[in-house]
Amino acid sequence: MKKVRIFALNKAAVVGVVILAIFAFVAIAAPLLTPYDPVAQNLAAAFNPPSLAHPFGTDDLGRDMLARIMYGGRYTLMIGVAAVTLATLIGVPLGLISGYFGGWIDMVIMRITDIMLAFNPFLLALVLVAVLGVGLNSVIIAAGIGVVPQFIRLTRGQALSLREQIYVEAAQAFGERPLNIVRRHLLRNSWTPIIVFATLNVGLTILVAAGLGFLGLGVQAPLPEWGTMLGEGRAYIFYASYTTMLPGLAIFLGVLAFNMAGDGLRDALDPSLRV
Amino acid sequence: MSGFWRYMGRRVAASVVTLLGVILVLVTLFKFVPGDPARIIAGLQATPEQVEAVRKTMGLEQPVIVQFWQFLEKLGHGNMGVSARTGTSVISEIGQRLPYTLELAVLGTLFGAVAGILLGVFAARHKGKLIDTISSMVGVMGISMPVYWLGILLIMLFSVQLRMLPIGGAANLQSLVMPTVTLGVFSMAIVSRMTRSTMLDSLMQDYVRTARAKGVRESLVVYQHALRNAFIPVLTVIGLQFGTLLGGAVLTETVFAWPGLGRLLVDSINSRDFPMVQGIVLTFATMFIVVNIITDLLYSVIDPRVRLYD
Repeated sequence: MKKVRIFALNKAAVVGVVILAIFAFVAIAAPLLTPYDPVAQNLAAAFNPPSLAHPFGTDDLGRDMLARIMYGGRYTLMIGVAAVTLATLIGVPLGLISGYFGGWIDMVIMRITDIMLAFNPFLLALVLVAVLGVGLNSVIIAAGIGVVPQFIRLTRGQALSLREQIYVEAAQAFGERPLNIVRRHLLRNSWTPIIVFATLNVGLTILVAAGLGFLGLGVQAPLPEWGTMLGEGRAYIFYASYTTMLPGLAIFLGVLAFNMAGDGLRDALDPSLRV
Repeated sequence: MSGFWRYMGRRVAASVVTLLGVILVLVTLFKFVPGDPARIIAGLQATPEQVEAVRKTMGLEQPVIVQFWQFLEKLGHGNMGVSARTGTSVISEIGQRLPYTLELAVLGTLFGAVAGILLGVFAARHKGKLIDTISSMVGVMGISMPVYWLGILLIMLFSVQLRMLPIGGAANLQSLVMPTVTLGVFSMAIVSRMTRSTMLDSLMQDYVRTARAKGVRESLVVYQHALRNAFIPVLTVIGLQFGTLLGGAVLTETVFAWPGLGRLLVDSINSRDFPMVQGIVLTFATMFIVVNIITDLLYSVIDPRVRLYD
């Protein structure tokens, strides 16, 4: 309960959660909130500046910007969450095993981690997209694998300190199988930092995925992914700047909200992760 | 000195292993590229025989491990193959573009480091005050800002509205301003967060209290005594996030039509020019590793207590 209080007293964290709640609600309820189809074209209405009928204006193909931003949350935010989930599923077991077993297993996993780190998240995602091809699934995989090494490092460190704990020694003495120890003791006692770290990484993967979209290598048009919209709108910054302002603002606010909520979670649950 | 060389030898050996791994990954990945690379490289008008010939000379039908070895052999002769798009040598094309990316990366890092340290020190000295709040807001906003959007916002303000700076290209010194700031903001944010927290530690240490008690000027206490000791973790962050900075360079160069490696990489991916993609990614990975060796070495320069070797 004390932890909930610490979190609730952190204004930035609460603002972050509120923004995320609004974004999630708008993305889910979009069909009820706007009469417009986010992909249907209406060339007669192209580049209408913001008005009552189109509060955020229309883009080069006459599509309502507000509707596109609302539906776009379904792609951009969902990609971030899905990519981090993937990174967690891959990185956490590898990191725990690496730290617990040590020896050559640790060496091999750490070498692989070093290689992936040398790529850095965005370049790795870019190379993966070049191989996998563009599209929603590729972007999730690419952005997710991009941050896997960070998860391996975090949980390896956890395992290194947890394996010295008395209950782990006891389990070993009772002859519990090593993989069971990793699952029942190390994993269960690492959830807090993993959740904090995952929240903080959603923002990063959103930036990576939207960056791919901006380059035309992410989710493909006409789907209203925010990064893709920003890349398309860029050609019109001289006479329809709102077509880049709004998608960019949406990405920024989404990432900001995840980072503020993540900072708050960290301070409440596990201040030792603070950099 | 021999300990130093032994340490360097170990570091370089580990880096070479990592780079070999990077090459192996690149060679393996491009086995799985959709479509037929030989056909892409030979061009649309090529006859089946010509496509076959390309496949042979590039060794594309060989198993991964053979291709890996061939890549290394060529690399040993300073050759990374030819571009599938232009037919020019990959290494000479990279050589032409690299200085632009280096220039941008160095300036972006410097901007991020200097602005970030100032911001962090300022926040730590005025902990809990308005300045501290503003600085931590700038910090979290900086790490949340999509670099491509920031670049476009700057263009709208300084090129379109105020007509003060060129919209892109690398014609003169003015064209460096916006790309440098765009690229450096993320580093600035990370460095300021790190500097603030290490400075807060450092300002509470005994030697700081002693220095103050001796009547040393406050600015000297902060910048000489405290900052110097807070600097190691800050330096680590600068080195580690250099990779992120290179990723940001790809986007920044695209926004500002900067003629560096990042833009070449995007163009090469779009035209499925895989020899070029391999060369550029390998160059980026090498830059990242070299920068991290340099930051390691700087530790012992800044703090003689740090011994990298026995």
